[in-house]
Amino acid sequence: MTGSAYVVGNSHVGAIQRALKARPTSPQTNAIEAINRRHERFMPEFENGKKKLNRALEQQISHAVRPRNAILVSCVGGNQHNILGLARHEKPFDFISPERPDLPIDKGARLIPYTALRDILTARTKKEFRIIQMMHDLAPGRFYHLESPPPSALDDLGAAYIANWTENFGGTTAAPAFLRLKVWRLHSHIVRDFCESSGITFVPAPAEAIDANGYRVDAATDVDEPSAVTHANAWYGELVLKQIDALIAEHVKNRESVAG
Amino acid sequence: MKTHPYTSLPDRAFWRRAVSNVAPGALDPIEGIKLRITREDKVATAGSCFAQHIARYLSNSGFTYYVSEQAHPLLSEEIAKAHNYGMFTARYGNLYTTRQFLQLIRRAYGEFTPREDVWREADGRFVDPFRPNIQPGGFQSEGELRGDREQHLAAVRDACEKADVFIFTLGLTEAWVSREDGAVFPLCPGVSGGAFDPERHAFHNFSVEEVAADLLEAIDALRKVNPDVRVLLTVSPVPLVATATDVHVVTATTYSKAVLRVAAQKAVESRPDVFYFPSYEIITAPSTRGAYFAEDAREVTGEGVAHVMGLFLRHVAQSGDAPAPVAPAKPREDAFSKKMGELAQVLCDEEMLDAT
Repeated sequence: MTGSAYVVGNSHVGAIQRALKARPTSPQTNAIEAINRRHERFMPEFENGKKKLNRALEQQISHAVRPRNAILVSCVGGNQHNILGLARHEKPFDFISPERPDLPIDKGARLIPYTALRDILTARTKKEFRIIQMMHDLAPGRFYHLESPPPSALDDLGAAYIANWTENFGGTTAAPAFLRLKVWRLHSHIVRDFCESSGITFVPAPAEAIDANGYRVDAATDVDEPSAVTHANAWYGELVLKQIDALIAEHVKNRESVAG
Repeated sequence: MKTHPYTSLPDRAFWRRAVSNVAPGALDPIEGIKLRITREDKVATAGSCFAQHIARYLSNSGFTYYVSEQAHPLLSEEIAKAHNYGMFTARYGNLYTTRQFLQLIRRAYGEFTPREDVWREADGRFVDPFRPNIQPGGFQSEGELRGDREQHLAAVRDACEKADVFIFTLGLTEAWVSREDGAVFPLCPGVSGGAFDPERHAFHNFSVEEVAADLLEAIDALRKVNPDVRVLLTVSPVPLVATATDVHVVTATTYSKAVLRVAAQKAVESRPDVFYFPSYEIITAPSTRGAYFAEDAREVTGEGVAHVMGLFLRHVAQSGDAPAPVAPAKPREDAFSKKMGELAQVLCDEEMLDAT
């Protein structure tokens, strides 16, 4: 039996949307739809100065998850690690990751205590938690949050991206790949902790898309894309779709076993 | 009319005129201090917790409170404060004893490396024995502790070499030392990290000779790298929280403060450009009848600090201004991160165009 998934996210939804376009559909495939919540119709609303889920989007999600075999998948946010650690800061910084103490330290960079950096990134990421929590409340027990794609190890991608997108950044280069990897891992750690404490299933990035050192494999990156340093490509999107297929199958199976 | 040496003395020499007949809040025992601090002078601070008030008032009054170990701009004011940045010139935490001050300078210049220099806690975290409360929850790894320490000691060197004025507040005479190499700990091992081991740790109550010798050696070490630095000494009026001696804590406090006060005086008399500021005397003056101590009879009240710093600014800083109230922390905003946030926004929009 097939099911459906409604994927809601920000820019990372692009890779999934591109993969969906390339995917042949048939009655045997799951119905997966992915939307970017930054669409004009779905821009966040505010309640007491805090972002909340747009009402139109809330209705659309509610409608999409009405079938019992439907799941809701989030890739909301997921860019705070890029905002913090993509470009080499004008006062370069680094930190020792307890998860990856083997990674090098940027020589000449200011060492920031891990807990301080964790607190900084948590404060920035928290804004997205409220939206994720509201989505969870629309589909409890069948809601999943996707980990952001890992960073590419290609240092020149960062430079190309920066050069492409900023004239104001004159002279800024990308942060070293190992720092981007550490910040991404820290970000994932924070999001995973939030998910676990909120009863949300955190879905790690596809293992096939990660190389032995923890970076995104080159196949998951379209080097011609200006956003390649931060966003994965359709190949990566297809791997995520397979993860979603597996989540749907598991959900359907669980439902059937409960129904007896 | 009889004449004798006292007849020609000024009012400040007489208790009745200088204390009894003066409103407690108007007491001004500062006399003849020759130190002058301009707004351009880089002022470094170290010492016990009372020194933090000096730092705060100086920076709030437009003086150059020199912080050589700044929080990275990414850290918000709140996070920086929680990680003890800016509390003193460098992130050394409280330096209660003069031996600790001297030891810090010697460590910064590679003249002393304590053997017991990392404490591994049962929960896997790591604590720096020489600043056990500096990192909330401890360091995540020994590598992080050592990396942070290396950076910290570089900041200590920077402070020693660049400060125009170094303010040191003498706090305690009681300390715990390593039996192995004499390293002095700010807190007894086992209190905020580590484990107390009578085989390795010993109590020591520094004598006036020891405190004075350490103080002079520290000043000489500072002058070796910064010959023109002026040094201002104060004695913390905050009583001991506990004594490890066999006398009452009140008696132990009196001993401790008396030793520190005498040692400070010896330093003033032994070295040029070393000054003493009587913050201890202002807070503990009998005319205040203890009003400058909080309900616990230990912490100094805001009024007491304001009195001290008002006189400090008038006599030493010569600002002519009333001490500024402690201003709320200015929100820190990292301009670089703001730009990156805007950049990400552009990127997100572009993704939409491409994917629809």
